[in-house]
Amino acid sequence: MSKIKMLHLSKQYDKQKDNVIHDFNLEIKDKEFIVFVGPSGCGKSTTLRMIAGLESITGGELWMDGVLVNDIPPKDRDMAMVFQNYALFPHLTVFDNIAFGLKIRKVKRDVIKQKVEKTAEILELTSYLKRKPKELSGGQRQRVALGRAIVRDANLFLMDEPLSNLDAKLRVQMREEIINLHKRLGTTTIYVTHDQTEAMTMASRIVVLKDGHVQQIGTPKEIYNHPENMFVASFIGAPAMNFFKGMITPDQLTFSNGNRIGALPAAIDKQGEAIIGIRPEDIILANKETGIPLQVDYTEMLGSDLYVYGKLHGDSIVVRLRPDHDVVTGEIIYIEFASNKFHLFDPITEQSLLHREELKQ
Amino acid sequence: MNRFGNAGKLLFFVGIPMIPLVVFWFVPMAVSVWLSFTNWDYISPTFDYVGIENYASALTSADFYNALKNTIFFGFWTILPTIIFGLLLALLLRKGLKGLTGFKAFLFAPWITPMVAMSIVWSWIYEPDVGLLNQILGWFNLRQPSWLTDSEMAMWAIIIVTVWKNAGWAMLFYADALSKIPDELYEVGNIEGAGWLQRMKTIVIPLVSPTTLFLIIISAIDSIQAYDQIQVMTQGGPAGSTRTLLYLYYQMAFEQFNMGQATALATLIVILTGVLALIMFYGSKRWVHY
Repeated sequence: MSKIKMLHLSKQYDKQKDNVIHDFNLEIKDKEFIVFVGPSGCGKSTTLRMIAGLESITGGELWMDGVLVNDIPPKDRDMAMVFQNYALFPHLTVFDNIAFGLKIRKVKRDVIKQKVEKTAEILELTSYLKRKPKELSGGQRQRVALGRAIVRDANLFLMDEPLSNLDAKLRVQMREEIINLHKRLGTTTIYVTHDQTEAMTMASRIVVLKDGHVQQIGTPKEIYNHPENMFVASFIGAPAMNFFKGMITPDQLTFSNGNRIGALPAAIDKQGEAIIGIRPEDIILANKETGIPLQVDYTEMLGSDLYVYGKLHGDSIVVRLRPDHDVVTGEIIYIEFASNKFHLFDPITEQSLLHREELKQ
Repeated sequence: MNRFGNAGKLLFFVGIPMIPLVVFWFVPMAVSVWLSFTNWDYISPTFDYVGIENYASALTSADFYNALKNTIFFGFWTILPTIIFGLLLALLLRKGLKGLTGFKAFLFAPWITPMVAMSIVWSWIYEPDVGLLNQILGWFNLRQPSWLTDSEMAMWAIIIVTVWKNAGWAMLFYADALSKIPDELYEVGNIEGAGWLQRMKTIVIPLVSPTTLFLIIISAIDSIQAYDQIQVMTQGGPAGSTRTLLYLYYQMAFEQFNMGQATALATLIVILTGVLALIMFYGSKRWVHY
């Protein structure tokens, strides 16, 4: 039995004509780590808050452990939530913040002490138990917020952009800590982020959202290698996938002017105009005779990679090269595309032209 | 040279604003303390030094202790309801009712109305035979007291007016303090299953405690300085039941022309206010969460 089931879930605010969440369907299995990812305003936090019970559900059904919970108050949903800005009580010590839920539930004092101490040990907060939140760093505060969630042994963790307020280095460290915590506790987790790196590195499955619509649900690998539409293809991956106009002929892909790009990645029903997508790392340097010329507009040296930006038949593209290549602005380089790495999209619907079975392969 | 320049600047920027403070506050206060050791009668040009006699007679007189008791009673029963009503009104208004701004203005209006004008209107409301309050009590067959002439009720009448004036003002401060509590904290309470009372106890009251301290201090000073409503409605009566320390001072100074004793009383009021401020300052370290 699935842990959580969302059936045709939708949300409409008063006085607003359109839904902010449309027909959201998802089944989450026990111990899964699900990440909702999408740009600002895509409805990912709203969906999470509907699961938490902090927002009402205006359409559809939400099931938890086989129980319809649409009208069940948050406290009876047996979940714990971690917020972006920690939501710690400034007047309480770390101990009391972690113990908050247990005290509200009138758990015995010695049990509270034992549980809080154990949680503090897991999160390495033991020496901070008597401090107030303002005496802690951002990372420590978020650990306290995590502590408040895990101390209750809740059935489900909901995390709303918990790392967004941290600096880049701390974010990577906390990301690892959350992954390890999930491995250790095995609690089903729904995690909201706008950061595709977090989604890719943490998720068992990713749900990509845009304007309240689910764009694709899949493992990080599926989402990255087989995006179902241009939005998913461009949102996941940094730098984003390159797109340019092309033609599908019965046996090959060509530019609009008829020049050959490469072989078809799979049998395609459709012929004619298409949007061709290719990831920056699937473009390789070629020799002058066989390669496609690309004038370098500018480069970005990242240490581990070299990004080369230019225009191909009017479309901007970026090429990801190894850092030891010596490429300078204004130079003409010659490129070719790795075979079978093309993504083909319908220019009108922006949906992938590759069949679902091929996407899954 | 530079040092002198800095000292000059300091004198200029600090010294000039200090002039009115010195002229209208420090000097009268020092003169007042000096007068408290004399038997000046406010009119005659001569007086004698009497040492601490004025203080001794104040501290041994029944009037002083009666006025002190009245002041404490008045202070406690105006501060507590002002704070409770202010917070409850602010919580009510937080719900986002229609016409909120108008309602807030309506509740705040008493604060900007002069106390004298309000006290006159309230003395009509308290009128035992035709006053509005007793008319309403009459509809419900409740006792209709002689509000301003019954020594049991007169202080309560003054307290009601003062609370009515101050509650809207306290509400504005609380509304601001409540708006600064992040929604997530209520949501944590909601997820953890905290009821209304628990949310009040664990979230609202601790997080508005700086505002509560501020309101207590200001209301305490305000209640020590209460004069207008007493003067208009009861003149300290009946039988001294509404005579607070400040009103006793007024009567000693300007009705009995006993300026020496009056200034001794004024000095005692200042000392009491100082002690009160100290208690609150130390209390705040434990009870107020910044």
